[in-house]
Amino acid sequence: MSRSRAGRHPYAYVILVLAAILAGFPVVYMVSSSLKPLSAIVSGLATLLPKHPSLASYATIFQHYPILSYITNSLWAAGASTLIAVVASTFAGYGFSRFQFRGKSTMLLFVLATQMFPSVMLFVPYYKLLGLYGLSNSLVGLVLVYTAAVIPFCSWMMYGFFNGVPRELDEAASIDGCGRVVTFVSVVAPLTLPGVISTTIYAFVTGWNEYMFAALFITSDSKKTLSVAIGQMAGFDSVRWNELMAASVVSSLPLLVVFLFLQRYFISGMTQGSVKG
Amino acid sequence: MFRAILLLPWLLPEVVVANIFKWILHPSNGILNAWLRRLGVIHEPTSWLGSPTYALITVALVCVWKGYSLVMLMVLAGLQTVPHELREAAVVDGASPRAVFWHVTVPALRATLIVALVLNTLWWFKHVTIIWLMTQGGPGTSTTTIAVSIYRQAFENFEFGPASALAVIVFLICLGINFAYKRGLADESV
Repeated sequence: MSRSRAGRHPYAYVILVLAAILAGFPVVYMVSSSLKPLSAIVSGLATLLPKHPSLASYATIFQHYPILSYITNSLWAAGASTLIAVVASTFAGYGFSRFQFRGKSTMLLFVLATQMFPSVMLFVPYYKLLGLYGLSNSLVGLVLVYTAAVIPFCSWMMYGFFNGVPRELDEAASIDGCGRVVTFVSVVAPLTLPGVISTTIYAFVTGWNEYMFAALFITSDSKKTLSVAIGQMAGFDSVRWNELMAASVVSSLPLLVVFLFLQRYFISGMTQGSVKG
Repeated sequence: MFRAILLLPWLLPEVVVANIFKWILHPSNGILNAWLRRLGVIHEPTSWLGSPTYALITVALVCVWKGYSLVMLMVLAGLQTVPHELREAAVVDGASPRAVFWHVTVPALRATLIVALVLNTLWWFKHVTIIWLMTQGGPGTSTTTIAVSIYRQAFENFEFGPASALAVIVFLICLGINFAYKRGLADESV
């Protein structure tokens, strides 16, 4: 549908292309800079495309920095928090959607209200709390913070998805002799798979990208996540921009790959589940 | 395909976004200045992030670049809830495509647009990461938003008390913004 429309409205198409260039240019430039040698970087004559593309800066970052350990840490923090958050919010969404209980609407509102807390406001309390329980400078602490950060939004998304599954299905299943648990596991939950996928992407992307909390709480080099490491590389006195861009590409790549494979689910998921105005 | 490209900014980590733009805007080696010089717009290297006049607007533009794609997603979601019949009915009644857009689609999207507006205002009001990474609130205090100043109070001066107090004020302001929008919404619909 959109293709035929774009054909009929050449101006709309031009605007679309312009917007795509605006959105894509910095990304293209990031990749191209990462392929340049340092001499081209500091020459003062910036070109859009590298004259002699080479992967040298990628080799350098993998040799000179413990990038692999940063990646592992990021995977760990984002992966564990995603797993916990998705499981918890699937149950929460199901509960909110299917059961009536006292204080339900208050709770839903409260969950939404947590989204309004400025994350800056949470820096100090988290810092103090994690210190109190000996969890500062530990990935476990980071997982807890990330999980808490994404659960509210994920729960709302899953709530929307479960609402989209007709209640008659539950009834039909219970008439056929399924208990609550079986109904949930084998009838309702599978139908919300697109929701689970988009919740997973959302939680993972958030955890993988997070910088501020990780930069504050993680002090030892062996526990740093990739985004903290990149932030640190940019803080050196003489920044090697080609290496920094290479590290940035490395940190963006997993997201791009995951997203390209799952974008169909994700966009339909976001559009069905979460925002209903 | 366009959708995927337009969603790129949302997908990229904030650290990466801040660094890409710091690099594009780099005073002597950045591509923006190189191009502007070739076009004759500027004659000597300009430090966009180092000038008190331009720093805030530059940072704001970067935040727009990073933030619009989520709004796009929300509007996309909202568009799918606008019943097709509504637009068809308008066309049958002789409305031009432009009239359909302004009088049918936009009003039907109003709730979505307001949610997007509220969430985005709050989101960028309290935002720290990109600003901190790009300018650390400087030069001077020209890009020190209230959120950045909380961060600085707490983790540079280690004044946790005043920082927390500021944070509470930010929270109250956020609540206020929220109520103001809700009030505006209610007034309009009367």
